[in-house]
Amino acid sequence: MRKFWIALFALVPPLAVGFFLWARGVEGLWFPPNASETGSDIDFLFWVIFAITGITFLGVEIVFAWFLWKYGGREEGGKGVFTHGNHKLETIWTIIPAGILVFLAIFQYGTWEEAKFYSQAPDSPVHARVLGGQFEWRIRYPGEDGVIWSPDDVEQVNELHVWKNQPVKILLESRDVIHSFFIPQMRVKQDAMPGMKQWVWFTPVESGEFEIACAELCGWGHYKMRARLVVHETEQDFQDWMARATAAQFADTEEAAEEQ
Amino acid sequence: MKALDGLGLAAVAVLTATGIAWMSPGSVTARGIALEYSLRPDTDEYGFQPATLEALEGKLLEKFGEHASPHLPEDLGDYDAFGMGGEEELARGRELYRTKCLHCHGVSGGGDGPTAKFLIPRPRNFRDGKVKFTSTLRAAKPTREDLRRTLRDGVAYTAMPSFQVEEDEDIEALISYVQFLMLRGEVERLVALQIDDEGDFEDFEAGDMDAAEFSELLDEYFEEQYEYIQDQWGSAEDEQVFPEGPRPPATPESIARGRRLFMSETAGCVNCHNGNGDGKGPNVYGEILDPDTGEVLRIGYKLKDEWGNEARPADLRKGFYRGGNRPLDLYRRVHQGIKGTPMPAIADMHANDEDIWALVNFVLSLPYNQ
Ligand code: HEC
Ligand code: HEC
Ligand SMILES: [Cu+2]
Repeated sequence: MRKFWIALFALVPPLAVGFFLWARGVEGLWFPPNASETGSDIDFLFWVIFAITGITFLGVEIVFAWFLWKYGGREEGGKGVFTHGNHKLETIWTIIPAGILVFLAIFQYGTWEEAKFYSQAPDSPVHARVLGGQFEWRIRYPGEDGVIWSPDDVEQVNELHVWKNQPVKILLESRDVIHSFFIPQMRVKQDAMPGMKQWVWFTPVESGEFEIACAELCGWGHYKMRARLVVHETEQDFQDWMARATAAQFADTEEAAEEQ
Repeated sequence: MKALDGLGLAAVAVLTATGIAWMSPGSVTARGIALEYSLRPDTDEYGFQPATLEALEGKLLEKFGEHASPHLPEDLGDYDAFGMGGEEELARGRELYRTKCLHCHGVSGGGDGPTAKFLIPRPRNFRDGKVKFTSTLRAAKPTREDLRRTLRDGVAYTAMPSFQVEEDEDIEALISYVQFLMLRGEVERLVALQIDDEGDFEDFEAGDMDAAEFSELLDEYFEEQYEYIQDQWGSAEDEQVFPEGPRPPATPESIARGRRLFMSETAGCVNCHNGNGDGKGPNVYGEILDPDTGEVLRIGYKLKDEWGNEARPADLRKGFYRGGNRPLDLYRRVHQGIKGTPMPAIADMHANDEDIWALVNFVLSLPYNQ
């Protein structure tokens, strides 16, 4: 039994490394490719933190297996050895992680500011309001007057359209509980709080369709709170789409309805 | 140590087994959630003997297939005639329905899935082919496009979610399966009515008619009802409501005219939707009395819809509309009212196109007035 446990724990580091190397090449297991301008900064931060925690993890696992082998009960009923700790050791293992944390706190600041400080938001006008609700995203474009919540708004559900290289600025709200607006490829994730207005911004650098998911357990239907992000190739494509969407929104006759 | 290991393993095994048992179809049925077709609860109300009910159920399964193999009865017409794709599509639709809709709408579309009782508004029995938000006249069936819209957009601010991100074929398959459940449910209701009307079942129940003969009789009933149903569904496209002219601009005059109508006794909107549009008008909201003692039970909504659920008039200040937010949708809502709910059709009250558009303009201005 003893050998079994030692072998099991000794296997963890090579397995973890192997799994990591393998998963990186498999679609759907690792990060979806970044498709936004500032996403690479986030990814870089991720890698830094991943390297620190990964190396620590491996070190701890190796020590763990070694301790099992060295101190594990060799005979049935044998007694363990008790120690009263080591002051020096504890000081060291408190100071090192604290140092790492302080380093991370300072090191990430620029990226955090870029991603979350309203002063860093693009000055472009608000592109759309995204309203989370159990269990869908309602998306309201301001229409011609540029004002959200006016009679010329265009509202759709579960589909957000933007264009490539557009500095997209979104007003995020919730109508019931806490949701989280998450677009993995754009590397944005922001909680939507009932009663609060949040801002989210990103600049897509690839066109195509991406998934928007709710990333905060918000009720039984959380799993299906999905929407689609459509990034048009050019602003003109987007405007064409917007013209169609506006015509659809204000359809009032048989002909207008049939055109859709 | 050994004992503890054993205990841990045993606990995991027991938990897993309990989980599997809890999720297995058998126990789902045991928890009162039918996973097979059941007869409509209202079919029970005719007071038929079990023999008659069994015969009817058998016929339904024969004509429309078992739960696992849904198909249209041959004589009901082509799949084409209903805009459906065929048997394979139905099978696909059934699979999708089971995973995405069943827990709310129930196996047979009765609105009796396990989640239903927690929802306001509740999903309703759509086995009569009656749904609230359609482009058609109040008495007419929905078109496929109506159902498509409901699936794509959901019903705003109800539990009915949007299935916008599903593939087109999946949506079509779902529509077909929903239509299938509607057809099946309606045939069942109509045949049960006919059995009750014609009275032959009494002979059968008394033993004066043998099973084969009764079965033939049922075949006849089914045939007769098919015709009616073909008519109904076939004409839906032609019974769509369209305005005579485009929406006039929402000028202050048009809105003021809509407001006057809204507040008037003839249109009566104010009685239900209240002067400020909050949906707590004098006719619908207030003290609910105990019918026996006359005591005030609670303050709440007084009207019911056809499915027996509380009918809460929309709060028009909120700016969302269950049946769609296009002016055309609102025109239809006002024109035909809302099927199965107390919201009446103003077209029956000699309102003209202009009146209706004025009302729509007024309604659409309400959210932005505050
Ligand atoms: C979370 C529960 C839920 C799920 C899941 C759900 N629905 Fe619904 N559905 C509802 C509710 C609630 C309503 C009633 C809305 C109302 O009264 O305004 C409804 C209404 C409908 C209607 C009628 C709309 C009308 O105009 O009256 C149809 C058709 C429908 N659902 C089809 C589906 C289909 C098909 C699916 C699966 C793809 C589905 N629903 C999944 C809850 C649900
Ligand atoms: C008898 C009461 C009653 C009257 C009268 C009435 N309504 Fe309603 N109305 C309702 C109810 C109930 C609903 C909600 C139906 C539902 O979704 O279940 C509703 C919903 C609505 C909606 C929302 C539709 C949607 O898509 O969500 C609008 C708009 C509306 N009514 C406008 C009017 C106008 C305009 C009038 C006057 C012409 C009017 N109503 C008269 C009861 C009434
Ligand atoms: Cu959510």
